[in-house]
Amino acid sequence: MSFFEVLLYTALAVLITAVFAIVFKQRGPWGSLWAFFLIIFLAIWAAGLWVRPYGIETFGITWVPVAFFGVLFALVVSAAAPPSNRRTMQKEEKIDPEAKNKPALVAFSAYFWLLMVVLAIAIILGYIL
Amino acid sequence: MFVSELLFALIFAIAITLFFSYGFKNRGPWGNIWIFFVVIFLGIWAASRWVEPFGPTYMGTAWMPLLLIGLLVGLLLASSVPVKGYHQKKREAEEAETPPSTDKLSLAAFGMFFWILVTALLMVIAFGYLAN
Repeated sequence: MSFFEVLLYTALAVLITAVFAIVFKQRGPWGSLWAFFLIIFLAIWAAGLWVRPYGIETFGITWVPVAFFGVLFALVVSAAAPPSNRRTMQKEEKIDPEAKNKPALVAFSAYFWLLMVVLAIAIILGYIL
Repeated sequence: MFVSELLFALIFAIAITLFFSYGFKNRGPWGNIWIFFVVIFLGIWAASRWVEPFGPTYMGTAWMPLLLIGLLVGLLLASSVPVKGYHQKKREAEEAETPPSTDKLSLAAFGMFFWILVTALLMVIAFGYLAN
């Protein structure tokens, strides 16, 4: 593990999180930018260790498949998020006026923490094996 | 390779879908067992082309990374399901005189990202075969 490697993965995760948050107004099913970033960062890091090297090499790191894996994971997270576009929200508010005050976030379930642990194990195993 | 990869993706996707669906009563954020299965199946299939093979091989395919990727995607989907507390469940059960059609609700919830994800996974699979 090199410092530059972690720096590159962090930069990629920040970039993907920023694009999804600013351009698509997407923060994943948990509604938290930090949770979204953490998932993407860990997934990118795991991918850097497990995905077959392919394409352009920068400072010894083939970052293209890693970045692609990050985008793919961000898509999975975004796809899992409940639809939150303006029209849907207005429709929901018309049906249930109290819906406006209800928190529309998904709580951090045991699955979320399990996913964190599994990703961390995938990273550690990537260095050990 | 193609047949064995497809077979492993299919078997693992079915096993993981059943594991989450019946073991944990979790069908992902869409509440639909078929969508849960399709996302996991495509994820495993894509991984079979791009992930560095390791561990035991069967029919020329290193199946261990495929199983791990499948479980990871399954976990990600399962973690996206809203958690309902005991009181909320009880209140909803009392309020629901006629249960709503879950299929209609699930279909309505398929956002743009779902279709982008499916297209992207299909492209990864196709490109994986073309590049190798």
